[in-house]
Amino acid sequence: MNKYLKIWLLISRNSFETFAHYRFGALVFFIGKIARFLFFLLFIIFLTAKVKFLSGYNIWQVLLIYMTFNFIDASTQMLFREVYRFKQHIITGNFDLLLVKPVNVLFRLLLGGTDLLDFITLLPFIIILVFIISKLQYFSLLGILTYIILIINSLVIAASFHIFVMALAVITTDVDNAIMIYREVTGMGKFPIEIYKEPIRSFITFIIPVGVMMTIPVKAISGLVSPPLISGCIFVGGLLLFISIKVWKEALKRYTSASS
Amino acid sequence: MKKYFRIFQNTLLEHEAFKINFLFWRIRVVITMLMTYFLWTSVYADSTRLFNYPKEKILTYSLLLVFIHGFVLSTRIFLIDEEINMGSLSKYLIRPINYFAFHITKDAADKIVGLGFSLIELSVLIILLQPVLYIQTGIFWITIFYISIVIAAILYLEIITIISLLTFWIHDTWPLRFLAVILISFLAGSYFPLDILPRKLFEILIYSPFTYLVFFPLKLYLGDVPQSIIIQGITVSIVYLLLFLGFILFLWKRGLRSYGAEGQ
Repeated sequence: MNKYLKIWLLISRNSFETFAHYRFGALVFFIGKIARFLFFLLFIIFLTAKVKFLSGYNIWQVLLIYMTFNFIDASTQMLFREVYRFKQHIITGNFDLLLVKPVNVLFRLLLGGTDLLDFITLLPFIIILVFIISKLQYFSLLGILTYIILIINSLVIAASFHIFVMALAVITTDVDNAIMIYREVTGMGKFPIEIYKEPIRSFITFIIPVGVMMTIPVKAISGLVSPPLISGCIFVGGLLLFISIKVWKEALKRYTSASS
Repeated sequence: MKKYFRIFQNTLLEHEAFKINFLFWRIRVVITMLMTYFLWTSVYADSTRLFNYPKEKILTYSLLLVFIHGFVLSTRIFLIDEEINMGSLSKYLIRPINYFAFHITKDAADKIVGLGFSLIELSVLIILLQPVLYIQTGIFWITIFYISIVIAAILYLEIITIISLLTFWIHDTWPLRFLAVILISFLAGSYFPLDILPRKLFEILIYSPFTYLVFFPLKLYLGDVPQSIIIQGITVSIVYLLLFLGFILFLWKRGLRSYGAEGQ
């Protein structure tokens, strides 16, 4: 474990150093990310201030869902950025070199390119989250603890989908489309899933569990989620991780090393 | 002319070869549209009129975004930056074709396919969602709507071309394009009609080129736009169109001077 922590810190430091070489690009990217975040934030405030409630959620709850989405999205991007480069590893044959290294290849591919820009945004997001939570009419310490556990669970679900995407890439060499579809679908979690009608709601509840990732943690903070539902969410996270690792191993068996 | 027709044909065939990529892109557009549509449905859950828009008009606005994305906000002209960076621009320069005409022809073929798909998607969504819609029947509004989306498509093409041509000096223009797409998403009206914003802000946005990419065409489709605003809008968008065209020619001439065909 200690070895992997050291490796992660080392590759993260290397990854951060690459940003120094692309200062202009990194700055523009950062401005873009912040602009997108602020535009949506203002839009949500503008809308919910007008209608008071959005599918039964008040302005602070809607903002909490939006901020929870942003925190999970930024954490996922920060941790799993290397997945976006997996296609290059496959088509250049570099994947073979990773397979022979004495480090778990899944660890190297998932966590091998920590994104500095998303890392920088995390602290402000946490501060805004704390501010919004303080504005909620009702929250408890237990609720906050459950919220944190469910957020970790959301990151596990996000990791599982990134593993699925990489498994797909081993077979098809395509990452971009699958990951972008995943991002668009999870993007639907910017708002409460109650705004969506069937069959969309079932899709984002059972296929890509956006509700489990974004909306249920917010409900948990106000004590609106029962213990069986919390257990169910954690079970979904664990199951998805288990299946994704199985699928990944199966995909590796089919890897032909054709590009090397 | 025949060679451009062949380029047009080949581009159509490319979609056949890369249909999965195209399909995934269209799915992404539909997902974004669905989010906007359901958000507005939820906002109008207890009202039939908000922000000076009746429910059927706002839902029509959000559904027509699929059409706008398919026709206006779709271009592959950004591949120019790859061609400059990789040095493959050289092979176009020595060919007996106009480089921009080549890309515009490819774009026209893309837009035909995008238009076809967006109409199919729109039909399927209308059948599935059964929304209350505003159907424009006025010939004048429909004509001016079509004119405005053609202007919008050219404007968008020009904006992306300008960013891509900066590759002559800045090798990685992808972040600039990312920023432009974000600005366009919000400032063009991809999530909401711009005239629901505070009046002062909207009056500033009227002079932004982005307004004429999404909001203005859709507003014309919905009708009830004073004649003076129509004339002002068409004038401003044509002025931008000409300004951007001049800027593209300027960048192209200057860029070719500094082009070193590196990477070739």
